Amino acid sequence: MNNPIGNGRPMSAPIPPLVDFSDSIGPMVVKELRQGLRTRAFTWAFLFIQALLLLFMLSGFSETNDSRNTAGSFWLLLELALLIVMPFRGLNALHTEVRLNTMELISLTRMSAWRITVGKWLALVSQSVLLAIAVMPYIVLRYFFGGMNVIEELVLLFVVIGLSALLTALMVGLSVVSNFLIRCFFTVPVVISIFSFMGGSIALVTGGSGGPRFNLGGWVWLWAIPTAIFLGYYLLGMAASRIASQAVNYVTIRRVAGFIVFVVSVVLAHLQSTPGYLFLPFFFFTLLGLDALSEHPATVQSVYLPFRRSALTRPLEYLLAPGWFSGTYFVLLLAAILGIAGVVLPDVWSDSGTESMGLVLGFTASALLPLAIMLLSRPGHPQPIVSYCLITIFMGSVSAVIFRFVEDGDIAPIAWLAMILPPVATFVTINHSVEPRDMLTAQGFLVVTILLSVAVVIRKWGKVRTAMEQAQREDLVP
Amino acid sequence: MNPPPLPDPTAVPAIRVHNLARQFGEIRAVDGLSFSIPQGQVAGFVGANGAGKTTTMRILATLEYPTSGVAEIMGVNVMDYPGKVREILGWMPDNFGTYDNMTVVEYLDFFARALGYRGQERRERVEEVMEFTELNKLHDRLINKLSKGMGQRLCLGRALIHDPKVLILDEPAAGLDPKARVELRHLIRILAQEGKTILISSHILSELGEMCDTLVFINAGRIVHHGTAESMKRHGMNTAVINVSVHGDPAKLEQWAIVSPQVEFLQATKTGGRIEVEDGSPETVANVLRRMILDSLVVIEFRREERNLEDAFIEMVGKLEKETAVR
Repeated sequence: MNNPIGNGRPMSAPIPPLVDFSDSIGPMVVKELRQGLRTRAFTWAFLFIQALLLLFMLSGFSETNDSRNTAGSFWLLLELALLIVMPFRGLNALHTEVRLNTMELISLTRMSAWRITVGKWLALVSQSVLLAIAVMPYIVLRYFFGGMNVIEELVLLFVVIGLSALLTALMVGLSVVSNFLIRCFFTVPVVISIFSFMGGSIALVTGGSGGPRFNLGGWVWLWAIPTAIFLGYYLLGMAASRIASQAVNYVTIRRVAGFIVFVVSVVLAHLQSTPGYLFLPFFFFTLLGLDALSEHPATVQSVYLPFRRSALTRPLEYLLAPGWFSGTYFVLLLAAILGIAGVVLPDVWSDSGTESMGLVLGFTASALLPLAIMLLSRPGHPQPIVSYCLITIFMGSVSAVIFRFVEDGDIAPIAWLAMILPPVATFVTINHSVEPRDMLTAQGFLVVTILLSVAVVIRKWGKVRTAMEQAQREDLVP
Repeated sequence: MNPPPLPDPTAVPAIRVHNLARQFGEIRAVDGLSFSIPQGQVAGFVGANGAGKTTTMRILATLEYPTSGVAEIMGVNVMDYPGKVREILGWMPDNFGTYDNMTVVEYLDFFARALGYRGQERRERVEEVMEFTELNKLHDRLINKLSKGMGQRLCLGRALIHDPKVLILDEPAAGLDPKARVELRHLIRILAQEGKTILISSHILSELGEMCDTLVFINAGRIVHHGTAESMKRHGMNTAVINVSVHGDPAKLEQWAIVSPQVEFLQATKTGGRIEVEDGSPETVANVLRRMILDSLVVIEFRREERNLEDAFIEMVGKLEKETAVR
């Protein structure tokens, strides 16, 4: 006990050369793998898959058995493990650290929030890859039995692993939010999509009709792979900035990356000249808006001072500094780009320019109104993303009910009253059966909603700014 | 508009807090706190629950941001340079979070890796810390199976891995049995002998009195007293109560007290009695003893009664509550 402790190297001293292999893969990955490989979820999933696959293979020896059945069972099992069990373990990744009071201890080390988040993700993906590698011998065995397209199934395996990595990023991203309703809101559609994908993929390998068929070839990979990589990066970045110290700015780079991808998606949509491709710009608009509008504003000098160094960088603070204030201007910029694209190339959007404008206004108002309500009702919530999402979910649910009152071109009085809800007004503006005059009125509602929301944001920001200036004055008191 | 340059670390206090405030909604947890702790001192941080101790410590540990004011560790501002502060600071929180499926050695190894240690150097640091905290016999024990005392030792070990110059320990002895408390106190003494600056909060004031060079007493987010344990015990005491034993007839003491200025006889004992001296300053007390001897009292015992820290603390809190109620 009496040994002196004070002979360690200070943290700032240069790091000596690597000695252990584990030193090269990051502390968080090492820790998570140590813990993860001991968990029951991994052990049982691993043993269960091995046992069942062995069983399927043995049954595959019998002459009466159709090799397509074996293929279907094989992929069903593997996809359940890689697309459901393993990614969903990520749902507790960051929240558990916060709940156990260990996140603060980690944040006091050299590890950045980004390395913590990516480490968690990487460890889970490594375990998924381990599971996938462990089933390789069965693929080889099935090849010898015959009746399988090796290339097709190997491509599918890589797709499943890639999708598993993306889903894991989504779950790790979601793990900063502990609210059950929000988790359900995001995961239920994902689970439905996964099952749809599983149906399609199993139909592909069995040659049956188990669900919507999809093609593994074609140019779609050109945008699907970069989109998946960007989404993975963005979701992990969202999580990292929500566990990071206020003195660290992860937002600016993420917004710049998001902006570039958004512009590219708008250009791609117009190059394709197919309305279906508009899904991507609107998807990115929603994601970037959700992220930018549900963050605490930067009140720490080390974050906002770099923007104030010169007259050139000062305007960028209004778009790229962390927080909902600059987030509002950022969302308005994205909306302006969508609006301009709609005006310049209206044929891609729809037959009428009014409809495209209605969509842009509708998405913008739907993004800004929850922020305004949040700032008026719970401005100091420690997790603004929770408040923001709950308000959005509530607004969307009420609107879904009101949609029933806007049918066959008739707008019931209750629907007029509910026009203050942007989704309702948006539904009216894109409903072909509604009178053009009513569509314009709905757009008017959307414009007013946007203006009022922006006014609330500016007013609330004024209060935050005054408090910051007051605090700075108090610092100077001797 | 760049952050100010870093000062000479040898010429500054280890901890400096100036006009620090932290507001949570309507509640002002820390309200204009100012104090400083010189390098190499062990300072106790005393206050009732909710007084603002943990908030202040968390601000110093770069885990919380002040609403206003300045907090510095070795002259480095915790707001401007949180990364630099973390290099020279060890933090031990009041509740120790554990991981599932992780052993003692893996836990320390993880933090050593996270602090930038590699290979052989990392293993040596972990071994040194385990030896210092006597955890080497438990290196393969799962950490969620450790007792509270062992857990606190592990937590202290984690805080020591990067050999910080300043240690902030929030209620390290809370919930420990007497044996574990003695062990922890022993470890802290060794660290103090090594010249580390330690800020330690605890409700066990007698222990703080023994361990600390200075005590900072806060109430409702404000400093109430800052000084040694002795000065805290005497804080607010205008009189001194003294136990006197005399050789011969004890009644002589009472007779002497009745005619002596500034002295009041409180209570007779078998060998003398308890007297109260109006002005409790050391000079006046010494003067009383001199007068007794000059007046031919054969004094065989002259002992000033001290309040213990708990009594002083409770009295201080009581007075403050009364003052607040009057306002």
